[in-house]
Amino acid sequence: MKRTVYLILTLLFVLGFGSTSAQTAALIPPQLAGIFEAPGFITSAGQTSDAAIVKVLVNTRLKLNFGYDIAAKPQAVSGAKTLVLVLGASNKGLGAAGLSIEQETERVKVVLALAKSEHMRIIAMHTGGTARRGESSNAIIALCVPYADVAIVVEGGNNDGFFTDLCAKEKVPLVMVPSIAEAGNVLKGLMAK
Amino acid sequence: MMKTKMHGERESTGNQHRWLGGFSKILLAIGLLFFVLSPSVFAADTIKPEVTARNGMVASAQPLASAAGLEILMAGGNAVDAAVASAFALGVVEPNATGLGGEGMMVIYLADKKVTTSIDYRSMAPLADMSKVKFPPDGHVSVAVPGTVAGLCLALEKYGTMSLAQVMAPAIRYARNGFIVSDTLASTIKDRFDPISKNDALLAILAPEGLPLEAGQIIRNPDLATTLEKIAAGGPDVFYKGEIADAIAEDMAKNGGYITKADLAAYTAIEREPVRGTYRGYEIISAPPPVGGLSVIEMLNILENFDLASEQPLSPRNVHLMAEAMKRGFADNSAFIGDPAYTKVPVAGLLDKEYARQRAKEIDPAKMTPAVKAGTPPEHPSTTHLSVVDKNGNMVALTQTISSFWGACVAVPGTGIILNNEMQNWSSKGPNSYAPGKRMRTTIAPTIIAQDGRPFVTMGTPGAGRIISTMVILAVNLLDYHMGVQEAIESPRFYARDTEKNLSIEARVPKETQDWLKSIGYSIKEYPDFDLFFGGAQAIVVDLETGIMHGGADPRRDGAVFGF
Repeated sequence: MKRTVYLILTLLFVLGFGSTSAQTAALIPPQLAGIFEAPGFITSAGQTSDAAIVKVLVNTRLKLNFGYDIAAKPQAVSGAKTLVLVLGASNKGLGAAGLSIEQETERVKVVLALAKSEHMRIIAMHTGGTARRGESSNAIIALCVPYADVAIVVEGGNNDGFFTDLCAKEKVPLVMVPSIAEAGNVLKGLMAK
Repeated sequence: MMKTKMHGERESTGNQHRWLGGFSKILLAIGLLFFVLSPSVFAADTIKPEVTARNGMVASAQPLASAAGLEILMAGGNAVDAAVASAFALGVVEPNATGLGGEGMMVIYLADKKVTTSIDYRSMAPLADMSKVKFPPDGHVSVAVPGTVAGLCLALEKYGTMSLAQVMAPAIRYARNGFIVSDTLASTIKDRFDPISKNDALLAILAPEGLPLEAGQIIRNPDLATTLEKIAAGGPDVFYKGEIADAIAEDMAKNGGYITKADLAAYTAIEREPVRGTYRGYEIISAPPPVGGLSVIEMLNILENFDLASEQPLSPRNVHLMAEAMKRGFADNSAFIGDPAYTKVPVAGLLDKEYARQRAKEIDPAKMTPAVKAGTPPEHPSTTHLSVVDKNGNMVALTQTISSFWGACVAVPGTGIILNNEMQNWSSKGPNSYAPGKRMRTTIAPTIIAQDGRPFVTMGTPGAGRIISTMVILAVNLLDYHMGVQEAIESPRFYARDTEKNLSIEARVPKETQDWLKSIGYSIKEYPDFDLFFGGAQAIVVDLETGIMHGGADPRRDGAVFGF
């Protein structure tokens, strides 16, 4: 009897684990799976603290060892092969960094220009939900997404279809995920083994 | 109730007519006239219900903390017992804003003796010379010597009736069993996750599986439960001289911090005489320097020179007058208020009615003052809030803080204690400049209001620089506009300061008012309808005729009122 229970539990665990992986794999556009290379670098576009969460996700959980600076200057980013831009304007974040939204937009433009000149692949991530939407956030999202090879968006941030429309217009593959943790799994699936 | 009109007030109509030139301005004037003269445009409907009770009431920033206080009241404790229980509980369930690593100030009314007193448990600078140190916004260097444990224990010992173990029991339970993360708490974790993620001990509490805790998840802090149990058993010496002091000092030494065991051993809470003033015949009793009660009274003194009640609460003129009073009060706050042990604070001068009258005369009713300077008060020969009322009429107004949300973003390993970042609050010069062992100025202002010697309001709010302005708005809402307590708390807020070019407002301030304010020189910075930026007030108002307690809590945070 005990053995049967263990067997059922093991089976459930394996099936559960397998189905999660399969779900993640299904989210990733096939042409993008495994094409993003290390070294990677994470910065914000808009000084959202979500960038710090993505850093912990990528480096602590997924052990990808990406560089990180929430307000990175181009020289810090230079040399990376994959740039992760975490999207969202935050008044608190801008205040802490001593930046106006105009200065931050300029910083992001310079980083994007460098990424383009060095042929980096760009992953745009939006994990902050509706709190990281609004006039300033939308403007900085609209600035970054056209440069991206893929956009990973946690569902709440696309309730109004903003990302769906923008990505369709800019022909950028959009991956919608239910949670930040799942966004990490997708990101891992995008990286070359 | 005393009502006064200023000389310049009669002239305001004439001044307004002068700037009304074009057709659009005439339309604006008609709109304003309609707005000012119409019957109340403010429905008394509130988001949260006003709570009433007869035997005891607790209003705090978190439902479990209010429940902790209520549990103590129902077990026979007095208002001080309940306030201390709620304060310890707040340190567990609102750890982003307060806790053992923080500080505070409380004002107490003792009904049997008919006296008020206050306990200053503000944090203090370490005794080492840090005059060459640039104080960062987070990390070990930003931490000042915490005062919470000393202050709460002193209040309980002198004015409570129960043991530490009894009043700390709810806090210990919450820390051990955990509680559900609210949207507010989750957003504060995300907002400061960058510095939080640099401290392993704090990360283990707030992101036990690597990612920040989300709303709806359970947060537990068993190390904090153990720390609280040690304090409950051994008293404040465990924290300031015993094994917790060892843990704090060891963590500081390892990480470049300045606090030593000697600093902790040297800390004492100080009982001080509250500051007192009057506003339209009511007595205002508030927290003394180095905190902001004096400035609340000064601003009310200035406003007493205007008949605010003759217009709607958010009429253009009233918002303008209040903004101008705030700017003058803040300018004087910066110029004169500091630790009274290190600087001579002109308390009586700043509370002087004639001085306030002079400050009021500076206000042009039809024009914003672009630059407000500190005044010259006359010389005199002296120099996360919770409110509790018990069935005997004892009252406590208590405000605590760890400065920024999550303080220094440092947890002391093995203790669950999150440390403050108060050292960022020094000014570069003036009465609040740094000195070893000194207490820095902040704006907290727990306040009690009395009528004919009978206290009937206990109120306060967190909110950094907005504390003083929000307290003034609350007092005016209650005393001039006679709002119910919940309505007074939920009413739209605004904030003006001498050092800031913007008038910050919640979007619910009427458009007509905003347009007029812009037309007389204000830059408006609009915040959402209900914004945490303006604090999270809690208040209890007692009907002096019936004895019924009315409690209000702020929907801008997770405030809750419980009574029985």
